[in-house]
Amino acid sequence: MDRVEHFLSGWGKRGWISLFIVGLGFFLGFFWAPVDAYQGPIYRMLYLHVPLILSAYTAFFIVFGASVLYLMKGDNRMDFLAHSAAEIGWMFTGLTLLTGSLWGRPVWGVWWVWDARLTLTFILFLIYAGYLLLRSVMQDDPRAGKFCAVLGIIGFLEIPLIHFSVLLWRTLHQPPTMLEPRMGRGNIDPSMKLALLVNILGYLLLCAYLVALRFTLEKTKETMQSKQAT
Amino acid sequence: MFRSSLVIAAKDMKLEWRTRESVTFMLAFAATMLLMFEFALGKDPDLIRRISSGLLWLAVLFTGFLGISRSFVREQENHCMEALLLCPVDRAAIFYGKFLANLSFILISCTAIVAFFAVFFSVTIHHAFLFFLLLFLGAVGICLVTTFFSAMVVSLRARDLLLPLLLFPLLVPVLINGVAGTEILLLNNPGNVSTWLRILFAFDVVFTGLTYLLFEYLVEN
Repeated sequence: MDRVEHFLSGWGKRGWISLFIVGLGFFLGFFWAPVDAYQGPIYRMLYLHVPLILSAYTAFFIVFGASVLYLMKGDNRMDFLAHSAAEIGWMFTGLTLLTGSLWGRPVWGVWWVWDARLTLTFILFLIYAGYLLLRSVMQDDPRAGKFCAVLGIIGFLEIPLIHFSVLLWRTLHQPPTMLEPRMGRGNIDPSMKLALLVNILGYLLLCAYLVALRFTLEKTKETMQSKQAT
Repeated sequence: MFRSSLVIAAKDMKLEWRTRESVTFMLAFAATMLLMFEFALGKDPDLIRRISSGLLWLAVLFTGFLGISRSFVREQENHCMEALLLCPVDRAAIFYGKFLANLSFILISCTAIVAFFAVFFSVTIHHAFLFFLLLFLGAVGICLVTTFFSAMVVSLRARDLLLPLLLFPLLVPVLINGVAGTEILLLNNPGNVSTWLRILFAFDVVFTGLTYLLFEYLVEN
């Protein structure tokens, strides 16, 4: 955890670099990459939508890992990390739903469809909203870390079950182009793939930066509270 | 651990037999839900028949939530929970004892709900064994998750508001698989119900393991 804390405090100071990569990705995606033959310019929402949800999934994985380690070792810093990652992941999931709606309206003609991926994203949004609500209800409760860690573990481990259930139940979403096993021989234009990869990197680094800032805030709060107590 | 769980389950069932707190209210609530369904959707009886699988599972879900959400509230009185924790038994035995008692309550309610649907909405059950197996696996899943989270929120100030928000997103797989499988069985549609049965079984196995590992973190000081 010392190494993780060292990385987070370091990235918290230097992470503004990620804003440049996000900016570069925005330029590549919205101005440089060619227009899609079927969807037209609206397809560029892809360069926000996909990086946001991938960053959210990464954040939720961090919530899971930090929750497991917190229950095993009892280190408060793991709890701070889980809390920070849950907040940022939840925010990114909300933005994914928003960008998905804005993309879907001109393409599908409606603001929302109950296809497998959007439904799974919405369920994730609700699960982690529950996590944050539990946190807020238990603000001064010393058991907050444990209870939230339990919920973080259960919420994450249930994702495959929800995914398969929803997928079998209904799907209209296009099949995955980037994440197919035949990476490199997929049906996406190389310049679009480059723009997408830059955006994914940028948003992952931005997610790490925001988690680092939030973690530092939690640590500072705890230091202040322990100083006030003495 | 199994014997300890049975003893705790027997204690809860004996209490329930004497007070009839949970099951009575669950049955009354199930009947009320049917009334609501009729007023909301009853204009077209064929519509109710076609969506009966969804309505049945909503009735099971909400009735189970109503009855099971208070299963640890009773232990808050007279420091009963502390007494249970002092017993020389595995912590998970306390959870499984509660779970087994709650399972019996929800199974009684499920039987009544199925009977209500058969009588009031003229629903016919084809392939009865598979139907009741699906209902049983779903009831186990609902009971596991609801009992676990009711233990989590019992001492929190906003428990009645928080519990449904925590619970229902996590019960989505039970609802989806239960409804999809039941639709095939009630409407005698073509389709393989084994997929839905398998996912429900996997859900139950995963949650049985998770609750075994994680319950002690909810009750330790």
